Amino acid sequence: MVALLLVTVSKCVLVFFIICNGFQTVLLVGALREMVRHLRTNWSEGAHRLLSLEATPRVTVLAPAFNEAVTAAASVRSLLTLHYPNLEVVVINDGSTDDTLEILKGEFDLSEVSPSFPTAVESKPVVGLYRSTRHRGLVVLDKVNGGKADSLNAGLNVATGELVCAIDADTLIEPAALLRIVRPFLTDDATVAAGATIRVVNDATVRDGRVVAVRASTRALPGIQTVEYLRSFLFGRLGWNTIGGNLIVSGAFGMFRRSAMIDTGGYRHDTVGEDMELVVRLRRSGVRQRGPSKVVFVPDPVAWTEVPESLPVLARQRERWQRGLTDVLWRHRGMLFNPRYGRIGWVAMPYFWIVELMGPAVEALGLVAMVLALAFGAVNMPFAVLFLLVAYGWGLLLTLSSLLLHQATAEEPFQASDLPALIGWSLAENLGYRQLTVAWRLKGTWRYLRGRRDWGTMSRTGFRPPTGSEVDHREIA
Amino acid sequence: MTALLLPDIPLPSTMTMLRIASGVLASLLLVVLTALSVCTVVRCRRIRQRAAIESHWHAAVRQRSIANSPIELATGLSRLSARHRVTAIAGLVGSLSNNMVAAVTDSAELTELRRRGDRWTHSRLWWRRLRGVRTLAQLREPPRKYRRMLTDTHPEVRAEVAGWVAQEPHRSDIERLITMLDKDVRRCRFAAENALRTIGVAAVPALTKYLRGPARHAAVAMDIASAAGLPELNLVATSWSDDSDPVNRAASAALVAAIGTDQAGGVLLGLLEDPGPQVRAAAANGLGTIALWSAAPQLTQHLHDPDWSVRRAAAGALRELGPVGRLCLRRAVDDPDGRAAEMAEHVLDLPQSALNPRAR
Repeated sequence: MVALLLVTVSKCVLVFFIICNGFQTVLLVGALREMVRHLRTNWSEGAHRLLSLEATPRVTVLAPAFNEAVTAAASVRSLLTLHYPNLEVVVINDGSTDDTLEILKGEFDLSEVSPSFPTAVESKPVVGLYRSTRHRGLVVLDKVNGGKADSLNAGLNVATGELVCAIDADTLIEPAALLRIVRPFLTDDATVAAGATIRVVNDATVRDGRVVAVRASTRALPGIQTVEYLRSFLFGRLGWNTIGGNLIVSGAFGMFRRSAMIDTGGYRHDTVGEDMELVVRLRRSGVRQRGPSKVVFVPDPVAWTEVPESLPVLARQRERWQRGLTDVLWRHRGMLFNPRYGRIGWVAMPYFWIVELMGPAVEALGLVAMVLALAFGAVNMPFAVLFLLVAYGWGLLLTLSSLLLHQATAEEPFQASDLPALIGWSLAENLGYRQLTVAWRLKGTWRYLRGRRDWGTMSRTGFRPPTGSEVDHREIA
Repeated sequence: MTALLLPDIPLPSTMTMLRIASGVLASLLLVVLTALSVCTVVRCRRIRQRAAIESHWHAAVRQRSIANSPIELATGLSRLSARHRVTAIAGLVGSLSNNMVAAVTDSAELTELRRRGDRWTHSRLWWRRLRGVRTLAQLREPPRKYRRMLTDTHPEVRAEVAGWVAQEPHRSDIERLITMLDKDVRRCRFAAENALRTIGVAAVPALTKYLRGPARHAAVAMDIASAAGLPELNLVATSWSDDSDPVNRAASAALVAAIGTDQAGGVLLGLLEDPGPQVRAAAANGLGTIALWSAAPQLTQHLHDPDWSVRRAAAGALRELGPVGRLCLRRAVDDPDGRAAEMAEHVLDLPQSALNPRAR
């Protein structure tokens, strides 16, 4: 009886494993195709040409900030020097209890103005509005604390750009990133949102808000997250471009049509998955109203973000992400297998339900079944070993393939000296890290079902300043 | 006894399948690892090489500009791929005078690159044609031989050529760009719009002709024409002021203001009472642009407009009117209508640099 149960569970896990990895392999193939098309279109394209073009739409960068005194000035400075001809930067101070606002006032010559702006979407009250006397495109909003979604909504009200770029206050954006991420909006009226590659900044060297030297981390957590992010963005999101099933634009860096955001009511306050929820709602609304509904991933613009360096913070982050995912999928369950939504309803939504939502439970069940089977002596050991090798080997192949894709196409690939570390982290990801994320994600789903809706806290360590010998990694090499 | 994991599937074949799968995976992993290592080493070396060559180039150009001596093409340039040769040259020539560009680009290597670019433009593959166009455009090749490519089958190629011909437009090019603006896909419409803006005043006759007809993208055309602001546009600008589409009426207001004839004030004051808020806002902006101080009372009245953007435009225009307008704003700060008072105070507080939210 026990053996039969274990057999059944194992069969289910085997089928599930084939579906997941098989589909991800399809995404990888799609990503390759998309990358080839992208490279052909952008061959020697001077992104700088857009700088001189009159018709580029105004972009408002929304940067929410809560207790970001350590990094706020550097971040805002880097935003103001982005290469984009028609730029507005709106920093939303979300009731910080540290010196964030005072630092910004001092650094950017802010002058308080009587607040007046349309309140197209709801947000907590605005306490102050500041304009810089030195930087015409800089606006700082001071408001009552309400969370990231609320801050973005307040920023939406103040923004004057046709397009809005939502970032985290500590995200560092490559100078030409806006010029590249704006492209889908210039080429297709159906585009409502665009996402881009996010990379891990933890061990990079930052000077004046710019990443000047990139190194693979020698520490486990940031190192593993580096390869994890590469895999998720480069083949996960890029692969979805082919199918038209992108449902996520990272909250760290994404661009949206402002009018569509306002029409759908902006970000929701009552979910921790506000970035994904907005994208799904934009797509749903766009399909219903026959308006723009396309979400595109652009591989080459790059933004850098800090990832958790301790297990407790990482655990909170992954648990929050899973709660957010669960919440969004439940809210929009009406799209599942709904022919009205085409491939989103028939492919993307089922994928997220089965692989992303139920995947951790199935994987955990498989691991438990394996352990129990070993304990009961019901498992053929050589079979179990081979099965695990194939399962993790397939995952490792996907990770290394995405690393290869990055190295082959990135403007600034990792150095050869970083390869051993990156390959090592790709291997190590499956030996403990993956199992931990499964546990955290399960916890996240469980907590959602128990009714938990808050954000938790993340500690920031700030960016690593350059030392005297570190200028440009190419010069050293 | 050891229980079989999958008793209903014969163990040997399942094991065999797994062995095959693990063998295939191991081979693929080996291939990917090898490719990864080779790719990384090669790309990093090429990036360093390119940086060194570009640095050499810059030094050579500086030397030439100081000593007026002939430039020797960097010997390493020929080792770069065509793409990197093109981008290296393009990145450099952008900052040089025409004489220097001639000196730099007149070499055997670049002549070969031009020939290759020309060959690419005849390819059956769209991405090769695009490559050809970009190569030639970035080597500052005149576009006259490639005008035919404005009607290429692929939108990316058409769009690229549109930007290219804008450097040396012919009348037929401008007409073709107008057609592209009116009928083509978004990518090409954007490129055509930019090309027409680059062409500037020379595009005005074609734009005027387009605006006399049932222009699908009249607002865009009027926006382009606003940069020129020539009096001959006045008639068409005014004719669009009673179009059924508020977007076109708003664009008409902006164009009328940009032209700034004596009749502009009358047209704009009429549009200030338009049912469409964006039209009223555009008219208010226009009145500020032409600094019609006699419009101050009407603008003050529109501080009470139900639409925020109209109130903002009216307040901004009042401030642009100078002392008369600022006086109206200061009085409005005490207006019993909270919305008008709030807007007046807001605009009075704004630093001069932040006054026009739409200025670039």
